Amino acid sequence: MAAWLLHRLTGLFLVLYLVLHIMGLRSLADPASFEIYVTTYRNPLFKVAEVLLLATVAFHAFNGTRIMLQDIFFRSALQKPLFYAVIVLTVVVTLAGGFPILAPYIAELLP
Amino acid sequence: MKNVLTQDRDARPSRTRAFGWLAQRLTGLGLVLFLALHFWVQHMPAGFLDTAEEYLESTSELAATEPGFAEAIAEGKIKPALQGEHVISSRKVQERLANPLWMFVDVMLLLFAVMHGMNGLNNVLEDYVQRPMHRKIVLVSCWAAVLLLSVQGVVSILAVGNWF
Repeated sequence: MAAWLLHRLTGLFLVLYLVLHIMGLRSLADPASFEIYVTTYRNPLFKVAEVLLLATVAFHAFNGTRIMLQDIFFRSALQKPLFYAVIVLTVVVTLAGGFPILAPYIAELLP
Repeated sequence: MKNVLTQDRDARPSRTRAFGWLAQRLTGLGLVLFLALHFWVQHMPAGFLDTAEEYLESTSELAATEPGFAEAIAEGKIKPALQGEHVISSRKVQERLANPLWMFVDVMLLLFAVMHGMNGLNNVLEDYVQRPMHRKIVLVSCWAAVLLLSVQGVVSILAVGNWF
């Protein structure tokens, strides 16, 4: 139930993000508007949101892979351990990918 | 009370729905690979982003030739990169998309993402929308969104290579 609900909620969020992302990239036609667009998203709050986006994509990707694996080799006993593996992988990927994104902003805050 | 599901054509086995099931898995598998690459290219220091020094250089170059660009820098709408920050710049995007293979990869990512997203949205909405007419409206809207977003995305990608 938790896996089903999270897959659905992350999926809905990602469709919304996809629409905003594609519409935002209309600025690619003009270098000045593209650079202004990128600067907006370099605000520290957006950087944190970017790491949360990575977490959302990572969860949806790992859980989707789990669903595909279970379609092929279904073992109901493996359902829970595989879901826990999805959570662990999501956390690992988010930390590994999020750190380089946030590091320059964290360094800025330090004295 | 009549059972809505047994009346509904959609509840019966159909090839179209089996195709949607398979397509969701194939595009999903493709997206895992494309998005790993997309994240690497757009967020990691792998040579596709400007370093703080390169960003200063590429923005000053554009500011020298375009008055609007210089104005945006003066107004703080375009900010210099922090030390150690890697920034996506229009110059680096142009350099990468000059390679037709990268352009192909980006178009495939776009089409896979749009199809997977809208097919998924349609699947979710089908769980809550029951009247056949309403389901048809949802399906047509999702396909319309696929068409609009695909065209808009391809236009943006081609615009980088000055195809427009």
